Amino acid sequence: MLDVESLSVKFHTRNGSSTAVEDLSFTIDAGETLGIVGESGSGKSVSCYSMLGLVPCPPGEIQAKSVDFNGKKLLQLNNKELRKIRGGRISMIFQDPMTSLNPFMRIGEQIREAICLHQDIDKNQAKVRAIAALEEVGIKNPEARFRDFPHEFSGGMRQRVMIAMALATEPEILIADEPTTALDVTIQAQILELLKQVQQQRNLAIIFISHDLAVVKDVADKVIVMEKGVVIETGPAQEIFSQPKHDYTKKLLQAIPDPDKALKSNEHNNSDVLLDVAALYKSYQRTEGPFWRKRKVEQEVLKNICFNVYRGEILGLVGESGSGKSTLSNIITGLLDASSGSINYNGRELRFDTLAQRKKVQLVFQDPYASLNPRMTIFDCLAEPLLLHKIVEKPQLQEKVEGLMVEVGLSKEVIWRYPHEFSGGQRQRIAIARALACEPELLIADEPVSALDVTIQAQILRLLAELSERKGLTMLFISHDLSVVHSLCDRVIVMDKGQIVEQGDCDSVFKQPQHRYTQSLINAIPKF
Amino acid sequence: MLSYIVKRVLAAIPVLFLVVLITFILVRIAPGGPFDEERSVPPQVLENLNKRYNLDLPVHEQFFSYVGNLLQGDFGPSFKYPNRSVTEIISTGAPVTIELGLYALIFAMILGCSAGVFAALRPNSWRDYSAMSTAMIGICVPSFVLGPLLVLIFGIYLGWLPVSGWGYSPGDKILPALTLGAAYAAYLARLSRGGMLEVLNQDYIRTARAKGLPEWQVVIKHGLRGGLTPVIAFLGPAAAGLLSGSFVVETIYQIPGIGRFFLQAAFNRDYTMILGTTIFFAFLIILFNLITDILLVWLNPKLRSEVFNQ
Amino acid sequence: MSTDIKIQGNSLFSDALRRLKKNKLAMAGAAFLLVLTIISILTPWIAPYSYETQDLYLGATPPSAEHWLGTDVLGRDQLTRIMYGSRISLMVGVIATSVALLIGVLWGTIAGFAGGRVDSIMMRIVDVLYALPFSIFIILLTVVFGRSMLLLFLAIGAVEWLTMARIIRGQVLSIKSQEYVTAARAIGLPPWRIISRYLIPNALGPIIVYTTLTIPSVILLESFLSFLGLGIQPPQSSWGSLISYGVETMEEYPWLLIFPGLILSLTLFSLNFLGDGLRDALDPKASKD
Repeated sequence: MLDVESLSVKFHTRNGSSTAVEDLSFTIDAGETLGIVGESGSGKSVSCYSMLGLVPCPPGEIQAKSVDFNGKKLLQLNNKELRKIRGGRISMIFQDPMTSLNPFMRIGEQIREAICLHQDIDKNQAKVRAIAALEEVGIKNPEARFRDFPHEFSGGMRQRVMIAMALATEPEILIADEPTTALDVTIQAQILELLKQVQQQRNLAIIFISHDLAVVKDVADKVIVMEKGVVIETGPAQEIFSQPKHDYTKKLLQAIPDPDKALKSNEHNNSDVLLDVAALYKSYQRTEGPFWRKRKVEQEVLKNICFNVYRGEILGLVGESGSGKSTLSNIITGLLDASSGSINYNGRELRFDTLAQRKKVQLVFQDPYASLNPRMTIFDCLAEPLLLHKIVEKPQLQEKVEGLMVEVGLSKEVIWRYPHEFSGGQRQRIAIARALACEPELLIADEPVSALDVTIQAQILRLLAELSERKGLTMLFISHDLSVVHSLCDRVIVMDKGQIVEQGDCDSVFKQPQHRYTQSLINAIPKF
Repeated sequence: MLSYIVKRVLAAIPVLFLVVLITFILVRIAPGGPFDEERSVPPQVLENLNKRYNLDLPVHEQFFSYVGNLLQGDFGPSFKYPNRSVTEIISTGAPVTIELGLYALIFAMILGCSAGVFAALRPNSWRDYSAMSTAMIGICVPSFVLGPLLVLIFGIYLGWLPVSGWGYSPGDKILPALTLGAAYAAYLARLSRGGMLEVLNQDYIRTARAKGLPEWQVVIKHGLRGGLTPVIAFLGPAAAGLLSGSFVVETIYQIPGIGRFFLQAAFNRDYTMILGTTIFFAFLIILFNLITDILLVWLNPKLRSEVFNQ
Repeated sequence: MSTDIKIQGNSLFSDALRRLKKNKLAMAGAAFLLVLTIISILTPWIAPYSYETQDLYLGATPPSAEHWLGTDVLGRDQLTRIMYGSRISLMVGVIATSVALLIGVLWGTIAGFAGGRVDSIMMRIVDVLYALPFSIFIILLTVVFGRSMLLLFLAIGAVEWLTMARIIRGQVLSIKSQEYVTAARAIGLPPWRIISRYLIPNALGPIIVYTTLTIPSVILLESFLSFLGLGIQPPQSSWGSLISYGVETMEEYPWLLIFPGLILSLTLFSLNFLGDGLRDALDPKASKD
């Protein structure tokens, strides 16, 4: 149906030309799913955008031997002919459903617009079609919701609306660009299920672009692996995942957290309680109603949180967005106050009023771009805690800073550089080094790898496991990603809607989840 | 929504009151009485004058009686033109000033927004540069330089348009409106360019393109709504600027608007007139800010429903 | 430090400077401003004529070899008067902007850093003041207190600090919520160290940009007032009063309008281009990678 032969995309800017995609070829037929896998900057999205005229030229330049869609040469079509195909016969859905729908337009109107554009029917018929499309993707009460604005839907529902909009024009090919990356794991499972279902019903061809190999393995029949614009490997999904030929593919596959190969070698069995959280509540008050009839509404975000962290262990804290895990970590680090409850550290109430206390609990954050002061060199950044806590004297300062850099796997020559001169993974290492500089006992890592590419993610996880073992560091590892938690942590806590629904030994929780929510979470992980 | 509007209107009242209070105090503490210039006024006459303008009462009573009159739309008599009340002067001048401001605003909106959108569609192209350089000229050549230059070129050298008056001869409203609106056209061009550039980079514009919408529909149906939000937000401050700009323009073109009366009053130390016009201007500015705020909420579905559910 | 070679990194500011140097318009603006400033400072020594020398026999003459920019009706040298006017206009621009900067930075930083109740009260005050018709108030003030330069500085500074305070507060709030500030707090850094090493260096870029863009609006406001006859009083003159003077006689002696207008516009151009250039150069988005 779609036959792409040696497609190349170049960008010409003032700073020279760069090649985004080089010599990409593939075919796809009705009912098939083609997965395109790669890390950020691999050119996987650009290749699809370029076929449909969504890459502005200039600065872009697109070349191909042929891009043949049911006998039509896509690259030779003029704008008008291409628009007939784009959105009509080839539809697209995108990564972030929160921003991909026009916030100023009712969703029904947005769907109807697409239908009217590609089908020769009047507005009322189009509305009927649009409502049918909403129903097909599982939106309840579609007649009423037709008039809603995007912000009135949750993330998962918005992605359903996007899918409805894409399918309403009865396309032959659906290009799904990271359609589940911004979604929670349970929602992701539902959306993937929905895509499979509509594919079967309509004999739809799907091009599924993703950085997540597990998801691609779950859905794709054929796979293309890309790196820096170049096709590394291509073939049937089964083959690629079971017998990868190329080193990069192998590296990608190895980077997937594997619960059977735990990152830590030794079993943890210390029963010395370092952190004891008991009966913790947190609620916010907000006012509702017009100002003459105001009432206060109490919103509980944490309910009766009780757990222990044992010395030397890595405790995973798992939950989806809105589960309260970030609020909890903010309370433990003293950035927020709890409404009630107690947190004891080493048998005494946890307080951060002295420097000596403060240094014992340190943090590593999610966004490596935001977590380092852009105006300070790496040396200053690492020297600051060392001097503040009088860990070393001035003469030994540089030596110690260099030591920290080596410890997190960076070269000691680069300490005079500024953060923006490093990549995301390197910055995350620097952030870890800064936390280590305080010689903490407890390290709280809040989604430290979720902003990183999968190969970098694996490296950082290995570093964390290593540090925990070598230094006997206790770690609270917060994540939405169960497989990461499973491979790294000793024990795990599962949170849902502000409550702990399950906690226990990592292996047993994952093998025999007791709570229904945990079960649904685990079932939602794409099976590898 | 109604709750929100009521709340905003109620919040505007103390601000207006504050303006009245500050202005009143300023005028009262001004050195020298209002009739100092009339030399050798007999004491009897002075006393009568003071009585007529309530100046014999204690200051707080003066204030409250003034506010009381204000509420009935009575700005009191003018010091300098005893036969005319300030209300009368304002009601003859205000329509002219408001008309002038409106023309200037319409001109600024049409020219500014189209230039901004035009530039944003091809960022960093020659047409972007030329539109934005022109806008920069509009910002950097102030109305009191631009106005005289326009008069010199179109009025005197070319003789195409009348150089003064308002409604006396055909076309005499063109130059004042251009002079007053030019700077705002330039600001709006920059604002709408920035707004459009930001919106055109949004994911939902990509979605609209992926639907197969023609580019002009993408811009008009999906882009303008969000891209022109900064333009609407600017309307409030623009109203304030247009009013003070009208001082200059009305002086240059000898237009009998309220701005000119205000300036005359300022030079003549006609205190009731200053008081009255300041309060009137403040009222207009606060009103425009209010309308702008409500408009911003109304035009944004998310804000609107937040306000609804409040 | 040891003797081995340091691999020196590029700070964001040195990057920004490099970007700024590539921006020809901004550099031209900076050069123009530099020359103008030097001339203004040296005016009493380098002005071709004395400020008040009148030559009533000469009267208004167009530009000539003796009087490069012509003379006014009283036979005063226009170039000299513009040079003295530049002193006043630039001084008002710089001093009033400094007043605005000082109040605005203090107010905005305190509000943003304190947060909570303090913040909402302080910003509510700004909101209320924002709704007041300031250009009218300034006129009112000059009417009430007479026309003094000090009043002008204070009045203009008092208007401009509001926007400054809002921008600074916004900056402080966004920087405060950055993870690197959280990290600094977790390390146990005292607040003043966080302010001096984290907040100020990171807010400096926007502050510089906005200051550069405030100066032209202050100069414009002063010229506006002087044009209306409410600002600088004779025998002193600023660009605004020179323009106002030029307008009266523009039909006969257009050079009396054109030259002061030109110098004012060129200065505004330079400041705006420099400000825009600084904004592009210091834009954190552009320097992310």
